Amino acid sequence: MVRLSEVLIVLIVFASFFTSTAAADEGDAAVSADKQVTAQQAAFFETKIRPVLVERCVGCHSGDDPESGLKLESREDLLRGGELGSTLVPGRPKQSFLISALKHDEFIKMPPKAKLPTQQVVDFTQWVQMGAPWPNSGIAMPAPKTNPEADTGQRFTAEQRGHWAFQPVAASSPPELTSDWPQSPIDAFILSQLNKANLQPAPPADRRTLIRRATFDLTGLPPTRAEVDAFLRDESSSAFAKVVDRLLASPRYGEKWGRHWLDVVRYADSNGLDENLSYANAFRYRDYVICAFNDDRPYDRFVQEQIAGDLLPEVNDERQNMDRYIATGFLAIGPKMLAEDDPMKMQMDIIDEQLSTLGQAFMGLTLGCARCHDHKFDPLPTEDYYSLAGILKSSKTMENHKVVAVWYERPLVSSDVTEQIASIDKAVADTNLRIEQLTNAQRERIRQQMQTEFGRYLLATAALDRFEKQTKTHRESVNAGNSPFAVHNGSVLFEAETFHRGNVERLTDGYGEGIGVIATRGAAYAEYDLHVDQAGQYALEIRHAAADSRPLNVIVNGKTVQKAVAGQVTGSWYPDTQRWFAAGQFDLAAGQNTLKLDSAKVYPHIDQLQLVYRGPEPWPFPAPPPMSLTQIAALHKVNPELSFVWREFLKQVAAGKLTEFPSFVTWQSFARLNDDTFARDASKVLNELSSTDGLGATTPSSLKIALLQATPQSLAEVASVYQQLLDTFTDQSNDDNVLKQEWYRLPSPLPGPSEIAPSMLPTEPRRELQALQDKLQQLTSSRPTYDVAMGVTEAAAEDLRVHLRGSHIALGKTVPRRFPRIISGVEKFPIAEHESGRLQLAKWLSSPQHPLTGRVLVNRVWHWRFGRGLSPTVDNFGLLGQPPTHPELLDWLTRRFLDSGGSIKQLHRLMMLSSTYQMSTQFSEASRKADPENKLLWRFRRRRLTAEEMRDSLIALGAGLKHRVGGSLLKVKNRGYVTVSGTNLTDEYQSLRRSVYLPVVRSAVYEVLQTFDFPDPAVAAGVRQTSTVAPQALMMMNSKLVDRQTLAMAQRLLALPSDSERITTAFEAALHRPPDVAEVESGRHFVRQAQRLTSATEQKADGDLLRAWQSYCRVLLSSNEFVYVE
Amino acid sequence: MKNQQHWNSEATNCRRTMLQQASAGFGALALASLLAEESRGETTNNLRKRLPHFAAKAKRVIFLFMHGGPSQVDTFDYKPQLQKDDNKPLPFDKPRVVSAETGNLLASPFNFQQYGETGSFVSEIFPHLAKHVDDLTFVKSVHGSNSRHGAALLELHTGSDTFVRPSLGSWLTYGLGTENQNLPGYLTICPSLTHGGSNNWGSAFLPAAYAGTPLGNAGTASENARIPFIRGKTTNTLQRLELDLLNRMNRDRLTVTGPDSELQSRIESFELAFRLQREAPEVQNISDEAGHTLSMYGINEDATKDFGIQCLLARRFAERGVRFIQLSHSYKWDQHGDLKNGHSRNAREVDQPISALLTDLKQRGLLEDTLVWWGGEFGRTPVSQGSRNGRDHNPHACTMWFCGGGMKAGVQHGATDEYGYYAVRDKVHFHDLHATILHLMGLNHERLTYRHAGRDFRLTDLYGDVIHELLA
Repeated sequence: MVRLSEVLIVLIVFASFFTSTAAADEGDAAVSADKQVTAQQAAFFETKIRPVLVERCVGCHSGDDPESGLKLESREDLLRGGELGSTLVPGRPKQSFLISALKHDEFIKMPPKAKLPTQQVVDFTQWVQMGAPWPNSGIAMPAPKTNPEADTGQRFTAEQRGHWAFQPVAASSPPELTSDWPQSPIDAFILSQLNKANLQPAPPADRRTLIRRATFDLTGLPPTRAEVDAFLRDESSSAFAKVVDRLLASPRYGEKWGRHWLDVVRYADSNGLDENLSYANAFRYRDYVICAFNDDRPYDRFVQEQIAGDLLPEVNDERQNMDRYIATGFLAIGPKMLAEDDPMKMQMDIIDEQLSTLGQAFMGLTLGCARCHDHKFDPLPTEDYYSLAGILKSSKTMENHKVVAVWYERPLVSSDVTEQIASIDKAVADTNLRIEQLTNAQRERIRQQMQTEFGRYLLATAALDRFEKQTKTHRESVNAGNSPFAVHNGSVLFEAETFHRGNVERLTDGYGEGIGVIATRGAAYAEYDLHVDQAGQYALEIRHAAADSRPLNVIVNGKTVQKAVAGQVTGSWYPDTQRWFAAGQFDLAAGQNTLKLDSAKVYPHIDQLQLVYRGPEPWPFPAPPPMSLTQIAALHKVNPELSFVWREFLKQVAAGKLTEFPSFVTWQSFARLNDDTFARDASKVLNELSSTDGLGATTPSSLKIALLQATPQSLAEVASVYQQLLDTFTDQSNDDNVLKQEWYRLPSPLPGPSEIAPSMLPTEPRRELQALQDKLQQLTSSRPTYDVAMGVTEAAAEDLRVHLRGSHIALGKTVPRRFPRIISGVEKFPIAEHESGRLQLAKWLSSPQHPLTGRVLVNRVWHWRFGRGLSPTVDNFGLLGQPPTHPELLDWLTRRFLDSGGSIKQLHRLMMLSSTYQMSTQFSEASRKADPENKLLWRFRRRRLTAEEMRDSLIALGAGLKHRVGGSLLKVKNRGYVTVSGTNLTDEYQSLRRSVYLPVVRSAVYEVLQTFDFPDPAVAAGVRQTSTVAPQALMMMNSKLVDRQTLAMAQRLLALPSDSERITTAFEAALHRPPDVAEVESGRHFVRQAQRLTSATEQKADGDLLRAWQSYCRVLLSSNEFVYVE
Repeated sequence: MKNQQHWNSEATNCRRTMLQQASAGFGALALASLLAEESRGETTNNLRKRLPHFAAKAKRVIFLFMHGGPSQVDTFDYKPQLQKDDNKPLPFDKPRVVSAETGNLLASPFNFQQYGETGSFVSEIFPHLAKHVDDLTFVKSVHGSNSRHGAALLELHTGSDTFVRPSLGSWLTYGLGTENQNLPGYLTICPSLTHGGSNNWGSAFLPAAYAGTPLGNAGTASENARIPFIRGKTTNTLQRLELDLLNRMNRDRLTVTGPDSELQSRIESFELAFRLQREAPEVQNISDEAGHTLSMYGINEDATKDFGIQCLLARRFAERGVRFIQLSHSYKWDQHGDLKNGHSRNAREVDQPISALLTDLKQRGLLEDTLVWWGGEFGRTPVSQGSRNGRDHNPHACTMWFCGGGMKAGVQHGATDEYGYYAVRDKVHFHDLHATILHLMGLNHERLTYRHAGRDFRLTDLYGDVIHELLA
């Protein structure tokens, strides 16, 4: 009904539009075409238009459920349009959406795959131009294909509805067998299929193999020699069960199995892609996962917490409540393009990423495929996608979608601290308000002051110009051949990047000539050695550019003499906004002094510094003392800070960088003149003004007339002409004056500065502003610090409209927030209007009736344990996924899993205490022929160590792992750039902690892990590929990691008394078996040879025994026997 | 374990072919003995050489990537109207989505002249390249979708500005394998670690073997750029001794485990690594080049040394059968300000080296089947940014050029509006470029697919047309 009325409205609106056009424009082609179609037009339509519509358009745009609600079967259909609105405006091709779509000009490009030949597009354009004549208007096109299901109201086909993964989990029971091989019901399922295929299970693995396998499988680490020995000694029938229980209870278990889950949820510590920023709080989610596995958290709760932990009822346990917020990090830690100029696109991309991961992780459904069109293979209509997307749109993941965007983080604090914080925040807000009021009032005062002191500022600026020339001359004349840091004759001007000590980065590229310093990480400083001839007071001035306020402290000879200088914002980091700022006065002793600029955070972009003698000692030199910029300003009775603003403005005018200020160009022509010869030279300028060229042509006439009348004899007189002209502006009658417009056009300083610095203000307000700023700082520092977690929270609830072809600017009909309709038989939790629906989604997903959630998890665990899922497409249970090899086993395990309350540890126990798990990897030619991929599990699958197991084992056998659960190794501060240059977190990766704790940087994964098939952390990965490539060999042969660890291992071996003990120990540690006699002999032989080779190369008389043993260790740790788990 | 579904299904189904060429890492080595012993039908050599879909015009690609976004209107897309209308307002709308606020039209600070028989306009900052215009194919209507460096880089390299997808070089390596089994098939020299970083040469969901191999990164001088882990502390003789024992142990182990192609492959991978370790440094040792060659590439001048070495390495790797070689002139072209100096300096650094590369490839007969491709991630606005001395990002138009490899020489394809803001005639999207490059390499972009997460992916997603007008 809703749709029908919408259509009616469209029709009515269109009809009225159409009639009014007709009335207004009698001769319009559109009208005549509508009235009658000429034979010529009919021929045109039948030969050029109708065939294309039939062949290329109506396949989708026809029937009861046309694409985007648009039918193209009749002229009326075109006029009516679809969900996107009107499609055709007869006679107006440019306004006809049909034409822009055919031209592939806009977001909607039709036909979607290949553009029509140019001639056909021209034909359509011409046809619309003619008024879209359609003979027999109203008669339908040849009957299109329709979806028979759509007619009966049945959305999905029988095949789709009958897909195995959408059926309820069946209550299967293990087949009855007479064999004594089965130890567990699992074995009955496996053996029954093997029997059917005439295959025999491999014999059981020996005990050394079994404990090595179980230890790597459950903890990702090799067993110790003591653990192996204990198992070999234990003759009880429960010996292996004890090993399994011990391993499941070890904290190392969560580190290994948590990592499996982290693959699925594309865990990383940075957003990746463009502006790659540190997710410094993501590790809390990682630790949550590790702990959840160690605690054996029931799977339904695990699911609920990750999707809606923040919405679960609070419990009387602060830690647990916080854990639940942290768990929602699942939705927040995905890859994000934080620098995306289109905020709507960014938001929908983030939601899409969340949905894709959620669908694959929990349901094995590729929801992302339904973003632009109904899923090609699975019964997931686009509408269902946007129903789910609405739930995430109603949840808050981001603080904003600007460039660079800011993600939301939730404080992890108790309620009393929250109150304290709230009261401080209130005080901060009050103070900020007061600051704003004060600065607003002062801005107005400054604006007025600028008007009354216009002339003075102009004069002061001219003096500053002269002064800079003078200083440069000083520098050049005095410092010829000397250090630029020797302050002779009272002043020095130096480049910021010439510091003697410091950790700030020198940027000499990309910012123009000679531009200063910037810090990239954390606290930064730059220190200069200055030699001063004359003791006394000196003024410091700093020239910088800054887009954000980055104040510095000035430390002279180890003592802080000035705080918060150079904090002014100039508008950008680029040289064109650089300005001089006064940075305080202080005493220097004669001789050597150090000047340090220090920041607790990052640096502004500093270009130059200037130091000028100010007294109070008598001036000792014959030439007059140079003045500081501040002094000159004082002399002219203007505010120094504001005079700097003027000076930078006029400098840019003089340099031709600001072209719309001709009156100031005129001013500069006078300001350039020498005082001594002013009268004479000014007459030349006045002559030019009176001519029709040069200044005469550009100078606004009111100014020109005033100057010519005044015939100024000094610069001060020119200034007073300017001042008088300005004074007349206050008179309302001159509003249209060209000059006034010029003078009040930004960036002219006359309207007043945008940033108010305390130094711009008179004593009283300056003190007050300073006090307020101090208070602000004190409030900020007294604010309790607390941890924050990445995660989501509720936002304003809203339903989304379907995005046609995935475009956020082509919106179709609104769909309610609800769950994919193909899943039936699960309790539907109603979503109230004000709720996002995340909690309901979490409950729906974790319901024991859900056909996918349990199966997908059980299949994942099977895959991680046996190397191949019962359904091998672990992330895709849709129609393109592969059905399970043992469907009854999958259902039986799922049922057991659900009945156990979702205990993954019990699932492990169940699987591992089976003959299936305890089989050897023994090869059988006959079995291989029958089942080359070992789908039926006639033997256990050999597997290579994972990237983490590789690195962890190397360290375990070398320097030793430093075990501790949780915590962050990432040193980059939150939201800081993780990849700025080639220094890729080197320190972090040298840690001796387990690999699961190493930072995972998207777009720059640690190369040791990457080499061994660590998955791209941008996408969910339930399966890791295993490649065997030469770079892995290179890494074993040449990397520092292997070098260090084998050296450490060799050092330990050398402590043992004999070669045979060394070789035996190495074998037991790496391969978990003793060497045979031949192996001991070849080991000895190798070490002797290697020692000779080291002696030959390293000029050591008896060779380098340590290096020889290191070589031996490298061979052992590179061997297939070490790298593969049997 | 392997969820790979190769486009060339005959090849994967043909067990004998596969196993004959099955091996590890960079190499296709005949492991005939494996045929008898093979136990697990899962291991394939990802990198063995494969036949294209149809006869290829190009055997390899050298991509000269100008990171930052060179300005089309200051390099090759001469706009007389822009020169006339300096500082006037743009007479039509700016795009809906922009990176930053921009001002009035800004004339190019550079002079343009016509060169060659084709009379192609080239800015004064490319005097060397100007001599080659008759060999070049200019595409002046290239456009992408995103106005940010990271997204634009990813779209240029992978076809997607939204998701992590395999890079163009990975698709090529996946489709065609590797020529020289002792070298990687896909190299990227001094790539940037930002703006998508390794995703720009990564293989995403394709097997890791198809990822590009970086030589150094943007922070490395090109003369020091090396393949990761190519050199260690161990001397060659000692390493040989180690590998001999390792080989013995691994072969002994095979008698215990029974036949296993993956274990076999791993044995072979160490030998390959040993050979790679010898060959790669040899390719990079340019001391055997004649003095006049080094000076032609500008290697003895400071300004041109770094990119000169990159260009010379490109030729040396191309000669040895590397399929996709990317050079990066690192993130210098982003002239939001200081356009005149910045673009002059950047062009100076690359002009002579690129010209030398073209000359060198031509005289060695390599240009015929080598596609040289020059371009950045986007163009720049014809309107000014900042204090009228810079330009903002502009994904709506940029100029790229090609040379050799089956491209039609001396062509000017497509056009922008009178100011160079939007591509208007014969628009060429990144997807179209990708389709065309795959086509030149003998691959149909619609057939080169890979099944991942429930659907068949391809480089060009649902888009892309081969631009036949560009083909010789």
